[in-house]
Amino acid sequence: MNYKLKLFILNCILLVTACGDSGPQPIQFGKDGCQFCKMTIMDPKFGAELITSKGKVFKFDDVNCLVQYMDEIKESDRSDSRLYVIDFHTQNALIDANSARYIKTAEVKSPMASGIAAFSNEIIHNEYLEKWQGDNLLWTDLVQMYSSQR
Amino acid sequence: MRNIKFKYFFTTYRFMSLLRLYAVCLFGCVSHFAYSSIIEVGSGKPFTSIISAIEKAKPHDTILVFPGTYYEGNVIINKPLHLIGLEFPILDGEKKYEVFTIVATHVTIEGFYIINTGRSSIEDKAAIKCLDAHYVTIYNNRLVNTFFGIHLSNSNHATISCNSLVSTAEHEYEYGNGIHLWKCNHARIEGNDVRGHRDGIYFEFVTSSTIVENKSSENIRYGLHFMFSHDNAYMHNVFSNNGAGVAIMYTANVTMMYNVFEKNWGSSSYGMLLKDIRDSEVRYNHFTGNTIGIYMEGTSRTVFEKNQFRNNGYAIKLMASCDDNVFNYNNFMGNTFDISTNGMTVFNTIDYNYWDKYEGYDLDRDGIGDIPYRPVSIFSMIVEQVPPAVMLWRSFLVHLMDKAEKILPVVTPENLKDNKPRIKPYDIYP
Repeated sequence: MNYKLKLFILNCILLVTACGDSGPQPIQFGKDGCQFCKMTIMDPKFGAELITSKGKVFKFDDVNCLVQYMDEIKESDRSDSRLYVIDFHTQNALIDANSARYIKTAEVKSPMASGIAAFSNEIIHNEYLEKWQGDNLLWTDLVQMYSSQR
Repeated sequence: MRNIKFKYFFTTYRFMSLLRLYAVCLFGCVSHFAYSSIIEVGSGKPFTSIISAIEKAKPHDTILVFPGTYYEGNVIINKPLHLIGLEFPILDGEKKYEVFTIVATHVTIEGFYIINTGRSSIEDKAAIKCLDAHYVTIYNNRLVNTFFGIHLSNSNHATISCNSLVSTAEHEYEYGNGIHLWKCNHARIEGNDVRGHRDGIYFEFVTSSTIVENKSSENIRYGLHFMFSHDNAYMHNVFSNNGAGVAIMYTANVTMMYNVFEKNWGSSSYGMLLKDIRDSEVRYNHFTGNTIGIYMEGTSRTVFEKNQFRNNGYAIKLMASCDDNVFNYNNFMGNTFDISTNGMTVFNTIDYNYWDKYEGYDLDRDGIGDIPYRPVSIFSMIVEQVPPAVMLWRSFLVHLMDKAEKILPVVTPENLKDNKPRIKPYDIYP
């Protein structure tokens, strides 16, 4: 394969990824900063992302930062935006925040001390729940927990 | 006359008390040797492994480790002991193990060369870890290529001094913190040199502690990181070349004095990041060559005095959520922007500072400029909204705009000004 063809393919890939209805944008650990607490995101077990209806991407280092940031944005943006969290088990992978299952426990040392781990897989979630004996939570619980704090 | 005095001396109270003192000393020494002993570890010594020596040791014994390389995996110290390494014996964690785990009080570890701890993202493996271990002293050790260097949790009254911690890793997630304290109080961290970790020194839920004369540089994230840690002081430290500078967050009553923050350069890099801080003091610090000297959000009732801001991109980024702060007697020299903000209302006091960009005059010669100085330039407000606009910096148009705004403030906050700008800089020694 010659150089030009490679370049062409690369361009195609870039175009497709740039235009398509993109899913979550991967968090660059060690480079991206948390929108809410301004800390550099380092721990691949934790993190969250908010993508507004206009496609603006905000990244967070811990779920409580995401929930607290949502209090600061406009009502209309809040309902339209898509939310993602990092899967504690697989790490690095962003999963839908609304359907994820959460555990809050002192065993988990998250960057902003929320102590919350997120899981996409229910079986794995239950395994960890048994191991840690933490609180079994849903997204709505988190919103209530951290929004009411302010 | 003299003879009589000499005779009487033996029966005096003074003599008796002296005798008693000697007796106590003698007995003390004897009992000391009787109850605590020195155990030697090394090739050709009674013990060849540290673990077996600890097993045999009685509380408060001293274990002397002779030079050599020891592969012992995880060494658990479960009784009060004094471990001394002679000429830095090497303890190798073989990239699998945590080296020292201390679970007892009054343990001292000094003079070891600890290398290659395991790295795992689930467990925080460390060169020296203290779990519920109070009154621990970690002195004069060298830690190389460790995941976490010194890790304390629930351990009060610790002294960590004169250690050197140097580490490197391939990936970001393989970095641990240099000196990591979680839920501790009354710790003293003194004269350490921390390089190449995630955060050089990390405090979470730590109170009443001091960090003095440390050097924290070339760390991936922060040189020093405080979270939810009240009533602490850090003084005479040098933080340089860290990924994002120093972060102090969600904390009250912090004393920050005589520190040097330098060369923290990058897109999201700060000399010092203050978020949600109350009732603190920032005095006699030097901020040199940082992208942003101090970034402040949600900070209130904090005093900034006699600091020197030199050659920073922004000296201070003061977000609108800050109130009741006092910025007096500081030097601002050679910064691209002195102060930038994102709001129109300001509830902070800024007086008696020296600004090298001040163009006013002092007709009454009292050392104070006769017209106020406005440290926020219109261009910095534009850059706040549209960051790429910084390209136009130093262009003629920007210069014109700044001059016009200085005369008739429209966009910049009207009351953010130094009413008493000083004509000559203050002498601020490091």
